[in-house]
Amino acid sequence: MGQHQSMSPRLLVLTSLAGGPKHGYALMEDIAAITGTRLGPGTLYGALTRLEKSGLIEGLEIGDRRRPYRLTSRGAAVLEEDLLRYQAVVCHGLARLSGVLS
Amino acid sequence: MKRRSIDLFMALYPRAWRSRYEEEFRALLESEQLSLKTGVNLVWSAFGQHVQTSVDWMMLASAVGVIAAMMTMWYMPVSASCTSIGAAAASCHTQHLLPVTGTPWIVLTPIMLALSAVLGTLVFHLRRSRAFLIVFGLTIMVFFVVSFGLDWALLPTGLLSLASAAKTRIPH
Repeated sequence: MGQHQSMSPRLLVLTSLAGGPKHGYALMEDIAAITGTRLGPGTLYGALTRLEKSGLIEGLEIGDRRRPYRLTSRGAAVLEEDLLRYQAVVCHGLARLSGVLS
Repeated sequence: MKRRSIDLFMALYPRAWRSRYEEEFRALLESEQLSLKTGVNLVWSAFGQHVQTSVDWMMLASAVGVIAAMMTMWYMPVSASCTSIGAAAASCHTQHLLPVTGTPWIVLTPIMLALSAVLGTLVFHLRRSRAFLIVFGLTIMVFFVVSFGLDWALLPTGLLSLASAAKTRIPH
């Protein structure tokens, strides 16, 4: 399993929200399931604050003291762009690594 | 996490941030176990939020500084020339970059104010772009050196811009 420290919290939060709206606790659990490591609560809310300010996510109505967040259309476009960039790096990296390991 | 610990950590965050996120953040912290790692994470995150807030204030000051500097540079005398008109008398004239009397002054003042306001707004609007902060700050510094201090009035703005760029490096 990868360690979230090597991935940006922004990418992890956007990826998690691509699966549907989630509140803070659900986001932490989902990201832990993806990466095998839990984001710290401060790190998570630092990312949520920045993403909301930049309009990539939006907060929904608070319920039971928990506010769900969802991806905006701009956030989805930015996530797609980021993932395609990562995909290109991963593909090149794996191809070159196979040459080293074989 | 116990209520007392949550109160302590919440007090570290900027008031503006708390007014928006406190309720939901408290709910999240209640489900968290207090550990050294969580404590460090919360302290670092609170510091990061303060940095973001201070960058906003610094760049707001910087934007106002741009307007003040542009007006100052246009209207302050840039040089003075004196001619001798006798053994013990001289006639001196100050020179400005812009006419400071008559109709040209009336026409150009609102234009200069508008231009300054546009540039100041642009500086504040781009405060999240670290590349912009660095380029803007360095341009002012380099021009200050090569022009022997012609843009001196913009120096505080340039320094604030570079300081903001340095601060935005801190992750949170």
